[in-house]
Amino acid sequence: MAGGHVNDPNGPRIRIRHLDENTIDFVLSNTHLSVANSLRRTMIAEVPTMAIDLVEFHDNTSMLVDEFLAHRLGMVPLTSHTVDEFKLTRDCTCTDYCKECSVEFNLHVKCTEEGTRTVYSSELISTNKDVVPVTEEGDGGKGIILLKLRKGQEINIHCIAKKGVAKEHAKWSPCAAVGFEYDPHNNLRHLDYWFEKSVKNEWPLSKNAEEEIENDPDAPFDFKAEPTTFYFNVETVGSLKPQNLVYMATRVLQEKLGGLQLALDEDQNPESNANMDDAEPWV
Amino acid sequence: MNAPERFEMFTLPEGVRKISIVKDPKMANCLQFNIQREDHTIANILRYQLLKNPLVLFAAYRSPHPLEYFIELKVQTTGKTTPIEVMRESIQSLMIEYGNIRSAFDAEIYRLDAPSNEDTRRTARAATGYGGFGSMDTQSASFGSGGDMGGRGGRTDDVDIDF
Repeated sequence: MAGGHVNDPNGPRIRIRHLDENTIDFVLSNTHLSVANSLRRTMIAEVPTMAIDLVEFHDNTSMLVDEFLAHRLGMVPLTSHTVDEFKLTRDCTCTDYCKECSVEFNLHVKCTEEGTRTVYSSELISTNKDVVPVTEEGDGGKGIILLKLRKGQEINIHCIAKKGVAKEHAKWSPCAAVGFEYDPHNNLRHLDYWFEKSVKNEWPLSKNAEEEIENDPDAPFDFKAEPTTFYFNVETVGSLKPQNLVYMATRVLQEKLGGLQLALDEDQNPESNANMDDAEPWV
Repeated sequence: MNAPERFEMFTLPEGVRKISIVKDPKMANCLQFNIQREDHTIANILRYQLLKNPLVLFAAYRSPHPLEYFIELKVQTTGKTTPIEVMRESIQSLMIEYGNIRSAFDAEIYRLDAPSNEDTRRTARAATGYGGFGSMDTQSASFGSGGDMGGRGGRTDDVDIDF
């Protein structure tokens, strides 16, 4: 086989510039734009997490309507580092939902005192110690405010959280945001900036511009140049650790490609004549 | 109201082939791969990987309709090989590429975890043993940010994820 289509022997490189509980800032280099973009798209929409999908209301005398609360509950991020142990409900053998494909939550609060009783997401009682609403130090470990109750008001609900991907609904997205940039100096002219007087003054450079050098504006334009360095800034909602998210995204992509490989190996329908035996010879 | 279910985007219906191959009668050595339940994520990387191969004369894809969840990938090669063969090679090298990204990422996490990097060490501690998510220590893992994802529509609403 002729060379050129095999991957660069140096392979892709990664440099992590910053990592904390919720964000990761890394530079992916020595790869192609399509690969970097597929990673971004997969992190946003195809890494599975857990989220509340069904809510049964036994009692709701709060001032919020059932569907409003159900929607709010769906948006609550749940810790999902054990998501791989769950099946998708539609692939599960159970008829409705079961332990293997879902986690149940209960919430029963009644306000009996004068004043307002605030109900937080951390009050949801999970049936699985690994899948619980996300909390952090900043909110005092209480999580998100779900609703507020006045004296005499009561809420008694049963929630079923399922595994899913953000392609189905954004509540399953592990990402709050993914920053993605390449070619900060616009050397490749992929961008055509709108400006009044001066591009330089009106479009300030990002921090990533320090990592690359600007081409000489008088040099002839290299129309064959391609971007090779990509700056990611991934922010999670807390359901997955940012390093796990990147890791899982590469795995999801490999699984997709593996599926295609298998589908190609399957015997194709004979009329399409995949082996091209009677095709005209290439001239 | 007539919108298809959201999960139709990624679940292959029963009896439907993941890849169906259509022969192009007007072009030699040319096949069209209709890949079910995939989108630009897969199509674009495949297209580029195919074009890297000098034996590929033509490779392009399109998404015929936003509500028809399949992509059409057309590949033409020289007579030295077949479109199926170059597809296999491309998928293989992409699998390797993501494997390489992952090992580069692993190595970088490991480097951050080294004692010399004290500023980042605390936060990168979960690195060891994160190959299996099930084995991760839940006690030491503190999860953060309960940011609301913003006022999205309801369960059945069309939630547009901006790619």
